[in-house]
Amino acid sequence: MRRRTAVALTTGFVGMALALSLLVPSEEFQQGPYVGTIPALDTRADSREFSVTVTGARLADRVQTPEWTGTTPGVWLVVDIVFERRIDHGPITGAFRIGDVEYLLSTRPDDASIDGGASSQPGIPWAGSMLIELPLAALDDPDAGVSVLRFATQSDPRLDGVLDYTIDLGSLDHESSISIFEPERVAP
Amino acid sequence: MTWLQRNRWALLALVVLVPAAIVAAMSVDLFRYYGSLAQHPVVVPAGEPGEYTPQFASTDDNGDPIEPPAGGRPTATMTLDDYTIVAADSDTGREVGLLPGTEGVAALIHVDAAGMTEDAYSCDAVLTAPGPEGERTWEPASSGLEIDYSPSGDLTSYCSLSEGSEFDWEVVFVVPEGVGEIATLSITRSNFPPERVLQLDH
Repeated sequence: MRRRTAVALTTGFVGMALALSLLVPSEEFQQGPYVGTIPALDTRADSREFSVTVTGARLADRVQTPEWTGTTPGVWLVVDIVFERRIDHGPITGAFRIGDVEYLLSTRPDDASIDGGASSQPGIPWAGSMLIELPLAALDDPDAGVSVLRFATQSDPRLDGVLDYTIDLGSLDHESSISIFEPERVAP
Repeated sequence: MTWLQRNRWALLALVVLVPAAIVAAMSVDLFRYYGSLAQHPVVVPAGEPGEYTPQFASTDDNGDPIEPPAGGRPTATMTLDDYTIVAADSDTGREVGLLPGTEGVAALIHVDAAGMTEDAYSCDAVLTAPGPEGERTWEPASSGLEIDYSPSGDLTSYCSLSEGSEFDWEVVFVVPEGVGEIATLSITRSNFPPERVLQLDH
């Protein structure tokens, strides 16, 4: 009887250990960012470290700044935002995802993009544009209707707050050429 | 003798060791967390000098180690001579381009770095204030980008201790309206993360 009990207990404990090991979250999950969402245009969303308001999104074949002309064989996704840091001084960055494909923000505009030319102090917002250079085929991607622009304070946002804004590429205005202003401070 | 009585020592060991193992596993992160917290600076009352020990270079330009002087490392003294809050709707505020809802803070710090050695690193300053997500930190405003002002004349905009002289250092911040009054001014060593050495009360 005692032997049978011991075998049953051992089997039970081994089973529990296996079940527990399967329940342990993966390292990727444990180190993942805290994801918030931006529900709509012109609606401010807060993460712990920063806030973002998306004020516009459009497509363009060419982007113009006072000092730079951005031509592309693809298409520009231009997203206008207001952002502010909430804890410390620093920039904003992001990445754009269609399905499993991730596009980085373009560094071609240099300081003319908000991720390249703005650094916010807590409570002092900046306004400007983010640019993503996409291949034309991206517009026909089946997931283009639920593509996501993820805002973050650093390129590796593990265990950091991020804010996601869902974009339907097909619904955006597509212009031949647009001008963007350089990032600027705006009143809180 | 029941099963519980026979195994009491093993069960007691489990009761003690399992929580101990959990605490030991978590304490690694706990120590790291406490290590990342802000330093506790020496608080200097308004108008009084505070002693500041800079960080020194450990090697020279050739990569050779620098030996500290026999008499020990020199220190500098810092005194907050003036702390001015500039409203955005004041003449000065408009002149320097402050936006509505913000205010400027100009801290004038007299630094006596006489006798300081050339291998002393420069210092910096930060303003801190409580916020909804914990402590907020402001760095000095970037001239031309965040404010249309740069100290001139007898005032310097940087804390260059290695020159080994006395100087008046004016550090300027742009903060949301109302923050200047409640903010704390700290002098930091410019390592990473910045180490707060002095808190100059205003």
